[in-house]
Amino acid sequence: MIEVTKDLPRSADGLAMDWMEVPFGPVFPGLPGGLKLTLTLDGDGVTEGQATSLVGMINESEEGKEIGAETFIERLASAMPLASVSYRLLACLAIERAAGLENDSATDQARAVALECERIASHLGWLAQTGRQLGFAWLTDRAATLQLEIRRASGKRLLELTPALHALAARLGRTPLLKSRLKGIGILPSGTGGLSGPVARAADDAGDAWARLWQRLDEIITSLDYIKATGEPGLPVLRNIGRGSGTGEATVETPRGEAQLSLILEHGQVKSYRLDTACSHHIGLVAKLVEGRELGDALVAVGSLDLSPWEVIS
Amino acid sequence: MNFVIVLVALLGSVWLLAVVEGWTTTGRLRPAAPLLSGLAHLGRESIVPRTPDRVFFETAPVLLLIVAVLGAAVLPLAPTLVIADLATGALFINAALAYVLVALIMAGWGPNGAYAMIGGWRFLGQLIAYAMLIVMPITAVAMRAESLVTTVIVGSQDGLWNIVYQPLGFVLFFIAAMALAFRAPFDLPTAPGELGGGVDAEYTGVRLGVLRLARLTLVITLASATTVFYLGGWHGPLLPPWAWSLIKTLAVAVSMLLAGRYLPRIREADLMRWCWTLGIPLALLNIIVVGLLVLVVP
Repeated sequence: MIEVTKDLPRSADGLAMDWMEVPFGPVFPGLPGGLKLTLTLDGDGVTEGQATSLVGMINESEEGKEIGAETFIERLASAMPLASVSYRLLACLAIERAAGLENDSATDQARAVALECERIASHLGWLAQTGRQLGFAWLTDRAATLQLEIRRASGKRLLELTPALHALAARLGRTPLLKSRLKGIGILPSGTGGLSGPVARAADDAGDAWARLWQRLDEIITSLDYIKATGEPGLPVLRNIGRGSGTGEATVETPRGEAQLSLILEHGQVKSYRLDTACSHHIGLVAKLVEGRELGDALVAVGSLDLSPWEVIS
Repeated sequence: MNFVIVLVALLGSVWLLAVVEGWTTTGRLRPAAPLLSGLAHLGRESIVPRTPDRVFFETAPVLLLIVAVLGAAVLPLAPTLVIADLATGALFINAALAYVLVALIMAGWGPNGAYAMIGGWRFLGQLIAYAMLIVMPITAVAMRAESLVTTVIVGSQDGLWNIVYQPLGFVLFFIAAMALAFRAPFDLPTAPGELGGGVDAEYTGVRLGVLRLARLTLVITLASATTVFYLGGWHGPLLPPWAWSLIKTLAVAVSMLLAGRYLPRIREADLMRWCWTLGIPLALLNIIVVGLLVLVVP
């Protein structure tokens, strides 16, 4: 017996066990597609883990290759399928600033409404994904249905959906087992830097998966109130920049946190750019969140970060 | 003859449950779907993992099906419609259902895959949680009937069903039965969002078909046990006894199915803690209350 176990790694309780390195993803029901989580398991406890994105975009354009402004916007938006409106807006803002255009309040307002619509849809998508991970079929169905409706809805229809969204939040508050499943899971060590978006805002509260759930539900309600007070959404479209040149920077609060884009524009062409996203930082938190947790709790903790593998910039 | 009738009733119930399951999942009522799905399983490639424990891998789905049918063998549909009216029927169900664990450990170990193996071992933990909550409520049921014979247990409920006589026992048994059938929110061994199917993950084709059939049969068997122990079995007005047994069994099975839709999967540690710190004391309390009632009320 001693010979069999003498070189095996030791668990926290001193037992010698075979540790397994198990991949979760890039296609796994409980995680977003494209995210690969590699966990070292000691039984069903996680000893260490790391996450990588297999679909994230590469920062900065190819040397000497200029891209037309419109093409750049389309590429950035389609590279981020879970937050295409946010990144379209980000690109539009950076290019317009590089071209020296002044802000236009009516356009800004319509764009902001579109951004808030996307925030609501994105948070509902996260709820559906969480439901799938937790085996909570009702939540998956309800959140996915509402997400589709929000994506198709005009401003007026959005307001009609308000009671349904309030009801969803209320229902989750009354769901037995949900709190015990999420409370105390995924707490980040104090002083963890690089947080933004709902993850950062929930850190001011308990900082666990339960707090992140409620943060996102609160943001859904806040976004609805904003839309109610403002008006119809307008998909971000690039204003006429002519053959402008210059350097532009923009920051947008996407559904997952802050995204920053800086670029150099020459004669209406994007010469180079640099993109920074919240998910690029959040993915690094996975190792801290999963270590020493039971497998199910570790996956819930990773899920609560709402990582979009497309928004991880390498 | 009884064997054939009970088997047909079991298959019919499984079909109806599969139709309801499809309805709750897709929103469409398709009576032919279970049959088509079964045929599709037969036609699909049955992939075998690279280095399986072949005996365990092949045996597990069949064993689970046999266990579920064996459990049903001692559960009466009507006073004379039972495959084996054993003197130790209530005990036999416990013994038969203990092999659910064996089948799942084999299904977990057999494919030599991480998801399946974790799923199998998870069920061992689950058994430690629910096992006492299956046995102890049945003890109280047998106390009232003063017998382990299942037909006598149903007979003892003539006039007052056990769900009224010992409601606490019913609640505990119903929850434990869901855990035994590894239905949501107790689907820890399969947990699609955590283990990608767990013990099911490496099965395909006809083997997966047998595994799914076995799971549904197990639910029907446990629903039938709930009917026999707590819902008065075949007792009911107007309709023939077997019809009442089937109606009650299906109602319990569907409620097991629906309950899982509205709840997230329970954490294994919480399941263990609640079962041992809350469930077992309540089951003991149930035995004491039933014991007092048996002594005091004629």
